[in-house]
Amino acid sequence: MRSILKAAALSAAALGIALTMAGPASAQESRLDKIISSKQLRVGIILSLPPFGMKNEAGEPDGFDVDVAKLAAERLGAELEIVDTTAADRIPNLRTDKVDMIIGQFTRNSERAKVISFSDPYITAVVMAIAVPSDSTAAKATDLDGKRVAVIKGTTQDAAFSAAVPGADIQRFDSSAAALLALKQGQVDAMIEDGNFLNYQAKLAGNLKVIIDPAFGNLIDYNSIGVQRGDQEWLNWVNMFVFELNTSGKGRELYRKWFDADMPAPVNPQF
Amino acid sequence: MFLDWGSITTFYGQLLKGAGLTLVITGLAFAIAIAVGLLVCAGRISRVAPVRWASTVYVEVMRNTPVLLQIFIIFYGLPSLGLRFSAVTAGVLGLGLNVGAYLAEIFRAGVIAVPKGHREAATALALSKVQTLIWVVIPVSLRAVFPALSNMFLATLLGSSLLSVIAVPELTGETNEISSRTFLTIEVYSFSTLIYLALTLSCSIGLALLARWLFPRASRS
Amino acid sequence: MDFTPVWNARWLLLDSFLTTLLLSTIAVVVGTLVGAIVAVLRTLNVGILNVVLRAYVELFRGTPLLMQLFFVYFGLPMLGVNVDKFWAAFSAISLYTGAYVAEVFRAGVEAVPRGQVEASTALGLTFVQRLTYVIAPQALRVALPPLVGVYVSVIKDTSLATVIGYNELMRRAMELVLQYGRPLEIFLVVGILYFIICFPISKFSEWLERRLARNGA
Repeated sequence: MRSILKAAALSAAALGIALTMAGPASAQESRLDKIISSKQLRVGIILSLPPFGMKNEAGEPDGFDVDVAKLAAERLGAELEIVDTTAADRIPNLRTDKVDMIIGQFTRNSERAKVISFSDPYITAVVMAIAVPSDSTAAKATDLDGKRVAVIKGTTQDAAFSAAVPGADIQRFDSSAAALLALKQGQVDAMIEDGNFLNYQAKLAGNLKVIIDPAFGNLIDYNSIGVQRGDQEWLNWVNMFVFELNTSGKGRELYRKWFDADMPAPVNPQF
Repeated sequence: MFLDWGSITTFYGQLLKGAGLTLVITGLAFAIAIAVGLLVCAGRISRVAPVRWASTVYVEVMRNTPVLLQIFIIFYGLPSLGLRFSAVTAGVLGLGLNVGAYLAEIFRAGVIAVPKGHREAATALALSKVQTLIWVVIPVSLRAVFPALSNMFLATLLGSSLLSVIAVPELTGETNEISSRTFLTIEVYSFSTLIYLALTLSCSIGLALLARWLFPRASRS
Repeated sequence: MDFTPVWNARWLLLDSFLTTLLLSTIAVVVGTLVGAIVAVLRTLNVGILNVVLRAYVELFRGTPLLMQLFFVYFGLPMLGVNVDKFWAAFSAISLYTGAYVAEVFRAGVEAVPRGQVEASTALGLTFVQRLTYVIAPQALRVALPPLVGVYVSVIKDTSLATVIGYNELMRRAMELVLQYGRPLEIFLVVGILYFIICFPISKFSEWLERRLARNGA
């Protein structure tokens, strides 16, 4: 038994040594130069978030965010490599250099901006939409008090809803897909996600409806492209790309293609 | 990239609560597994052929498909048939039913391990069937299978991490939650790794002590 | 029950099934190599080395594979090693398998009677000769049935790679369920796919075990 303890102590120590040896990652050359010379652009997209990211019947990535990524690769003259990610993986993927940018319905906030950088907004969304079965009587967030509500770990919606309705039985899932499936199978009574995602899902499913609580209705997400912190040149290019996407009308055109509607708010914030 | 070990002190409470739920889930799932294991073991050695076949099919299906799939079927699939369980119940049930199949085989090996002479001696001493079971078969086979049972208990403990996939806030689930909210990925995963090591070590030490108490050296063959 | 969605998605399912098989095969091969190396090094009985190897085995057998997957996928890059989903899944599952294989081999080595090892030392055999002619042939015979059993677990455990988004069979099943509904039908078919691979291998392991019991160690 003593040797078990010794081995345990040693494995703990080995873990500690390995972790303290983690050195700083160095980055001198701008990612922009690297992409232009290698002709390779790696974009993180949530492929489990239709219609922003999904796989079509041929198994190919498709969706609004995929279209935006294709456009970016085209402007860079680079070949597009799509890295499938989840909402919770987005920042780790950037921090660990698995992708050059994340086009994944990223909500900007000052907390996240300590860790990564954000471009200007390229799409808007109602932050807190609530999806419930069509026969549900819930009309606002507080009606969900005591009900089982699915949210996604680490999202804006989790923080905001948990604070607004502390009495709800909140179930935290790793991905929107898992949460949506739980809602469809009646394992939760409601699901909180952004309005674009839920509107599209309700349209597909037929037996779900989306309610917007007036208390949250003015909360608009200005979602943008996420990049690594500390590479201003690369961020400049991404901002220029977003500017062109917005001013050329191409962005609105893509939104209409995928949602058959107009964006819930203009991409230039109104205060 | 720097590591911020200080910040995780904030999450001690949340992680320990997760670890507590991990232990509860493990205990409940293992209790179900023992019941299922005994039942299926009885089925496997039954004289009624259909019962024997059904038990065999159960054991083979549970042991040859992923437990994650079994949990998904219970949580996401069964509602289609009108059967609804909460995430914790679905997870505990899935884990228990799975481990039960392994326990059934372990118990069967234990029953076989009882020497024929023991049973004959019991009959000669005029012990009834029930007495033989309680005083001869169970003690002898329990000693034979105890190490295998201990291993399955630890496997259940580690397997309980799968419940995080259906939103159960046990240790792995809480670790993921903290990691995705605070980005202290490496710090919080290292810490939870240590908690898991502590849990598995204390359980294996506890089980070893239990074995020493249950089967004193003096009466060891 | 309506199996039309499953039938329509048969090529997607088959494609992911092959991915699962590929990941399993590579993890089995590398895991066995790692386990064998660890087991051989442990027979050297060098104090410090023994403790380090023991620590590796305890670390990977004492924590859930799910945590190891998350740790490798998000942790390794922060230590300067860049891993994509495949490498994360493959290295975590291989290291995990290696720890279990090492224990299986160690049990095999311990089954070799001490006297034989001492006798071969007395006969002047070198370490490598002892390993090749005395220990390995006997240890392998004992280790083979549980080893094959570990391989069945590896195939099933690759399903956990779904949590880091690696596109194996389980992940494809979730995608299809979300797209078409019908969770019961899709999960059942996926279960059958796992079963037709795992069942024969399990039976093979049991057959090896019976043969060993019959012929004696």
